Amino acid sequence: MKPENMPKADFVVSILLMLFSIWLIVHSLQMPRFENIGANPFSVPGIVPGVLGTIVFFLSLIVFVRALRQKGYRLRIGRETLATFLADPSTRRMLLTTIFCVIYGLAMIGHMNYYLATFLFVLSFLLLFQYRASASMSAHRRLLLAALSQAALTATIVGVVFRYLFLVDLP
Amino acid sequence: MLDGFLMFTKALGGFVIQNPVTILYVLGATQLGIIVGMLPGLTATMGVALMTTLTFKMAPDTAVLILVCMYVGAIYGGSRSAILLNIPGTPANAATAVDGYPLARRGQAGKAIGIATTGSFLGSVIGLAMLACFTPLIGNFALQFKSFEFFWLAIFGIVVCGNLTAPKDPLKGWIAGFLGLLVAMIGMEPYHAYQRFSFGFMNLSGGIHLIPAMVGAFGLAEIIIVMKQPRMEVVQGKIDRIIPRARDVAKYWRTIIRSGLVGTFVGAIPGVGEDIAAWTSYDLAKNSSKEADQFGKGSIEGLLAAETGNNAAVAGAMIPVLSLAIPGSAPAAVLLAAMFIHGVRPGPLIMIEFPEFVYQVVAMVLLATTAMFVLGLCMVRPLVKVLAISREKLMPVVFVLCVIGSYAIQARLFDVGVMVVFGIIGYYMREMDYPIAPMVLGIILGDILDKNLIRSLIISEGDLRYFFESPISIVIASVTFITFFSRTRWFLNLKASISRAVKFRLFGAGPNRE
Repeated sequence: MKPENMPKADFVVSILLMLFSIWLIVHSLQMPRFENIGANPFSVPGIVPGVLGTIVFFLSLIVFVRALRQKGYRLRIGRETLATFLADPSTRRMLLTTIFCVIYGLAMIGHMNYYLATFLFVLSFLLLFQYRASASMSAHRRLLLAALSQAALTATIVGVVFRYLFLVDLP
Repeated sequence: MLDGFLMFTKALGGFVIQNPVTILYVLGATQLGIIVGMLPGLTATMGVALMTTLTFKMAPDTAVLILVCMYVGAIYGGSRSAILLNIPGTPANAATAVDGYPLARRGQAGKAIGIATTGSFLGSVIGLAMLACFTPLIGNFALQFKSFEFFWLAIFGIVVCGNLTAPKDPLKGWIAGFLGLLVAMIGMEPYHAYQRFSFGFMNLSGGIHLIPAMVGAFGLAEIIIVMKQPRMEVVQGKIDRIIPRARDVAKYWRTIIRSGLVGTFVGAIPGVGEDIAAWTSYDLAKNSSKEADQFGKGSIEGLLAAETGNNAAVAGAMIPVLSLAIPGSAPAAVLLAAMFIHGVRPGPLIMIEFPEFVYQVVAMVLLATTAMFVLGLCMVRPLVKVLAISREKLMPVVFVLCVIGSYAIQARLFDVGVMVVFGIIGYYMREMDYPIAPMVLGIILGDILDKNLIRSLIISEGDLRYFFESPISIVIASVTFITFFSRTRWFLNLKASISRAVKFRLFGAGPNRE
């Protein structure tokens, strides 16, 4: 992140953290106190999260005040800023990587055959990030062949090693 | 002392003579560690975490040996990419790149690799000597710790770790640390078995497991960062002489000893880790060097200081792991979790329950260090080819390992979800300068803090004076508060006025006397 954007990020994150810590404190206060079983008042479940929530609140408050002084409240998020952000190639690579990993980790694993899921993930990842439209037809063919082999090898080796060597029931 | 030496030789003999296959494990795991360390995107923490999942069916001593080899190898291996790519393979090697890369650009890549290998070896040797000497001492001293001291130790760990891992903005380090402590509050609490923050989800009632959280925060976050960066270029050219001349190294004996001691000390501070150890050693070497102007332009002394410091920190990080069950660094945190998985319980009672284990770990570090030195000097040219593997080919395989590694420990899909969530959180934390190490330390220290704060409150019946009663508590609390307030303006003003008053007393009043 560019240093000039840090006060803006601090401003937003500190508000979120303060809200989160207030929720934590309220939730901790609502936890049972087990007075009916004669529990020691200092052993109640909410005491430690409550104390920690209070500390996080005050630390976030300091970040918030500092961000205010640095004029972090001038967010200036418009359509243009968003378009520039999304047009940046590194942002696109970051977003694509995150999306691919989330889909593989949360949607594919456990919902379809492990070998197939891994094969598809590696194959699509390789093709997406290595594909160059300007490359020749033979280069495309080579890329596809290499991606297919790497995806098949990865899925097979990782699956077989974990299943038969480490006796893990694959997801 | 003699008992310790006997236990150490027995452990070493046990590994080398009674079970020669161990040597293969040592060589294999160290080599793998070097490869993991040298590949940008694969950190020592991730390597040790993934290896934990691969070794959890092995005998405890073999499994811990493999993890130690992976740890030592990875911290050293990161120097390769730092020298040849100007991209540190692990954060611990950032200081290595400052002088290693200019040396490689000058056509002295082989010399730089040889110096880095020697520095890492000597640093590890100094560190392991300190590990053997100080772990029993601290372990015996820690037997005097009661709930109050453990409570302060947990807070001290978070505050110091936050301060050192976020030197520009320690506030963010502390927030990360306290958020980590809050993550540890999820699940069943220890006194009434009440399920905190589980919201009726069965999986959350057991809490957040450390390994998936760490694999996500260090693994997936790193994958996203590596994929975001532009392409990297390997320094081309022939690798020259690798084995360094003895006089090149001996000339800097003061720097080596200083960096070894500083690296071990910094490594032993909870959660701080090898990167800070390397930078501290580097800065000290620069400040005391006769060739300070060469630092940053390819200084052999700077390279030696950084590599000696980071590898000494590996052994240093194991001192609090064994004696207090508090990790000195992120990979050491995984090592600690692995020890628990294998039924070894490090902590203050280790010198009573498992004294041999402490010396076994010293023998393991020695074996790993020797393997690292031999492999580091022998396998340079073939391993340079590994750096040519493109990130697009490597990262999907790494993520596949992150997923299966998170899943394998408890065979729960929930842990894969934890890994993904912590990966995304870890990425944004790094983007906004919130360090990850204090958060991970918080997850580990959460249980210690929870139990000991409540126990202390019950014993003292809420009287806070008891928290400052014993000398150990007073010392730890004072250091914690001084660290916490040392960045505030009023503290700096107070320090300046005290300093002025002292000078006034010593030298008397005078116009503009400084």
